[in-house]
Formats: sequence, structure tokens, C-alpha cells
Amino acid sequence: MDYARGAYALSASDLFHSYRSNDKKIDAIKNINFNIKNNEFVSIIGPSGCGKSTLFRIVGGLLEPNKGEIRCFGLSTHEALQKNMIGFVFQNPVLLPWRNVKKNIALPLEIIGNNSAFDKRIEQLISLVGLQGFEGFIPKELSGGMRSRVSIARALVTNPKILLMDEAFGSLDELTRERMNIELGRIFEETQKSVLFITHSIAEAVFLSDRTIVLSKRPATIQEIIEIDLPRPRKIKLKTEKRYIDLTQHLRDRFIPEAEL
Amino acid sequence: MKKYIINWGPPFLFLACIILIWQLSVDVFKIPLFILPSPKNIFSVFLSKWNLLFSDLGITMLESILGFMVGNLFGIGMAVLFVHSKFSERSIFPFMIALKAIPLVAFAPLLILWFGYGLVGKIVMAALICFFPAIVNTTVGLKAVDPEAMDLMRALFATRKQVLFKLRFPSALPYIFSALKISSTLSVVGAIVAELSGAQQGIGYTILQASYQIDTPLLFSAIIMASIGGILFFGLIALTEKKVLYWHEGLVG
Repeated sequence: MDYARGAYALSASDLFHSYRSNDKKIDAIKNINFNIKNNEFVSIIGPSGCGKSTLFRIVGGLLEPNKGEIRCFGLSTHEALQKNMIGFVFQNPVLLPWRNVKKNIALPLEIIGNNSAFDKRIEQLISLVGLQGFEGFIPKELSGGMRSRVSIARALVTNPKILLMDEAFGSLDELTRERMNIELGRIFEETQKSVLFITHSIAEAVFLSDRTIVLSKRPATIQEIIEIDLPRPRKIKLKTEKRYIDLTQHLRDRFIPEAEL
Repeated sequence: MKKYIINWGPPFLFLACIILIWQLSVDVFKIPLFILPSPKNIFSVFLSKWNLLFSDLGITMLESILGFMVGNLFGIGMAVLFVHSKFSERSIFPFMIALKAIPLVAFAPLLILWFGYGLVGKIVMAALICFFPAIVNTTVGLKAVDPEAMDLMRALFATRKQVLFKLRFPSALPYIFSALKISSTLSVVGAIVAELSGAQQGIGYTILQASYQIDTPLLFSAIIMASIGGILFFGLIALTEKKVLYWHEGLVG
């Protein structure tokens, strides 16, 4: 049993969390159970304010759930964080504005005190995310898409096994967002991580994922887990194929009942 | 060159007009020297008393800058303590906000009683004035850290020291510089007010002497000298800010 659970990159069992707001107890998430396999890209999609971010913080070990637990390859989140097994990409790029691209990417290595092959690793990541030539630029001088690229590179610098992304492209314009989806798809296929990707974009979820977890309104419970059986590598022309369109339509129906159309 | 003229031409012209009108009014209305000396008169006294004024300014600036350094060092240090100890913040910080609002220069005569006519009292006055903006702004700045950046630090098990030096302190710099700019001019005010309360040298001392002797041209010259000192100090800090905060997107009010 333990071995079986340890085989999953991420395993959530019976998560429950509530918080207090104006003396009222509000349940944020309830009965959340899911497993993410190694090298699997799973997205979580749900209406805004449904508790996605609470779930993100719990999965990442930044918030202790009231009930239930998260296991990363069989370890507790605390242990997984200590072993640098989890990389974070937040809603905003959260770059330190006084550090240039290279130094922002290097930040996690500086903090954990890992100095071996420092420069080479950063160089590789800069070319992986396509930022060659911008190493010395500071965030002020970068576009939104470039800032996202830096934050992805920073999440990957400690070579984590799991990448957690919370509406990572939510602040980007539509064109840049589509571009970043293609880039992230490529990065995922090249780096072989397990990814948990929180989003409120149906197109994004279908384009990138192996499976999509659909959450209900608050308190967030799992409504459905959908297999996205589209071939990889994912290319932009996928978006015109019937299977892709059917899947997005299926997801859309989940959020907007036919009666309202 | 053209841009230079467009930027600096109008204010320069305005100043020239003011000086001209001043000069003409004094000449035409025959205003007595002890009430309002003419610019020409002030200028000649300014030049003839240059040595005295210059050494006075040196003293006053020494007091201001030392006070500025001591006050800011203590202020920033206390703010760092506050951020790391909720208890000390809760017990002391409210007083800091309240004390920031009181007219500290009223303490000047008391400081003369305590520290005498020497430099120490003036340095203490300047330091006191600089202390409060520094402690309040730095505390706010050290706490105004992006929560997601804090999450990132936590996920990496960053030590308090790492969080302070890699995240909090740089984030606080815009706030700290806005305090430094305020206190650069205020430190000169503090030093001069303390000198006015009792001193043996300095710009404030010369201002007081000139007023006793009804030497209005010297009084004006001393005021101009003090202004030059204040403006230069402010300019130095503003220039440093520009160099240090090259990465900052906007200025903090």
C-alpha cells in the first residue's frame, strides 16, 4: 500500500480546509482526492474564487490542511520541500526587481547553498526558456511573457521533480498566453517533470494536460477527472482538431449548463 | 544643448527677474539696509565674509551629517528589530508614530542644558529629527514584502538572515530613501535650530549674532549659505537614490 502510494508524484487524500472570515466559517475545499503519476501533466480547473489557490498552497506545503494529507513520492510535503522536490510558479512572476534575469534564476540555488555547476545550470535553463541574450536585463526591462519565462526557469533551477503552477499565465495578454502555453508544453516534454497546473482557462487546460481535474464552486470538490487523450508533442495546430474541440466543449458544458446558453 | 536651455532657461529667467525687481525696489523706495538689503549688497557681504560663512557651514554640516547618520542607523536598526520581534513592535511602534508628529525642535533648549554649547547637543538634535522618519518608513518597507515572494522563501527554507538581506531590505530601500530625502533637509534644520538655542560656532550662531547686531546683509548671507548646504545634502541623497534604485519602477511617496 505504502509502496503504491509512493509511486505517485503527488497524492492527495481526503483534503479538507476551512477558514474564518467575518466570524463565519467558510469551507474552502472538501473531499479532495487525486493522484498524479510521475511525468504526468495534470491541470486543475474551477470557477474563480472556488478555492483553487487554497488547494495550491496546501499541495505545496505552504498551508497545513485541517484534514487529510499530501504525499510527494511517498514523502510529506515538508520532507519534499527540504529535498527541493517541488518548484513553484506563482500567479505573478514574483521576480526580485533588483536582480537581473540570471540572478533571479540563481536565487533558489543561493538560498539552499548549492554552488556546484551553478553557472552551467543557469545557462541551460536560460536557453530552455528562450531567454538567451537577456541574462543581464532587470525585470523592469522585460515584457510580461519574458518575466513568466524567468519564473519558470527559477522554479526549475533546483531540478525539482514536481512543478506546481498557480494561474501562472493569468496576468498575460491572450497572445502571449498562447505562446507561453506552447513553450510550457515543450518544456514539459523536454524536462520530464510532474506538473500540477492550476488555471481557469479551458483552452490552456486541454492544450497542456494529460488529465484535467474539474472543481465545483466553493467549497471546492472534485466534479470530474477528464483524460485528455491528445497526442504529444502538442503543437498549435492541435487546436483545430476535432478531439481538442470536443474536449474543450465538454469542459465548457461543465461550467455553463446548457439551459443558460 | 537645446534641451538644456528649454529645461533650465525658464526657472533661471524667473530667478533673474525676482533679483532684478528686488534690486530696483530697494533702490527706488530707498528701503533701509537693516530692513532689506539689496541683492548687490548681500552679494558683496557674502563674498567678503566668505571665509567665516564657509567655516560656519562646515560646522553645521558636520553636525547635520553626523546626526543624520546616527539617527538613521538607530532608526533602521530598530525597524529591523521590530520586524523580527512582534512583541517589541507592538509595545514600541505606536509611540514612534506618535512621536513622529511632535515638533522635536522644541527640545533644542533642553539639549543645550544637557549637552552644553558644543557639537554634541546639535548632533543629538539632528539625529532625533532623522530617527523617526527612518524607523517608521523602514518598518513599513521591511513589511511591505510581496506575500508570494515570502512563500518562495519559505518553500526554500530560507533563514531569517537570508530573508532580511535578499528580500526585505532591498524591498524596503525605496521607503528608506524617501525617509532619507526628508531627513537630509530636516537634519540641517535641526542643527541650525539647536545652534540658535546656544552655540559658539555654526551658521545658526552667525545668524543669531547678525540679528543681535542688526547686520541684515550678513543675516541674509548666512541664510543663503545654510540653504546651499541643505540643497547640496538633499541633492547628494537624491543622486544616490537614483544610482541605488535603478531597478525601481516608480517612486514611493
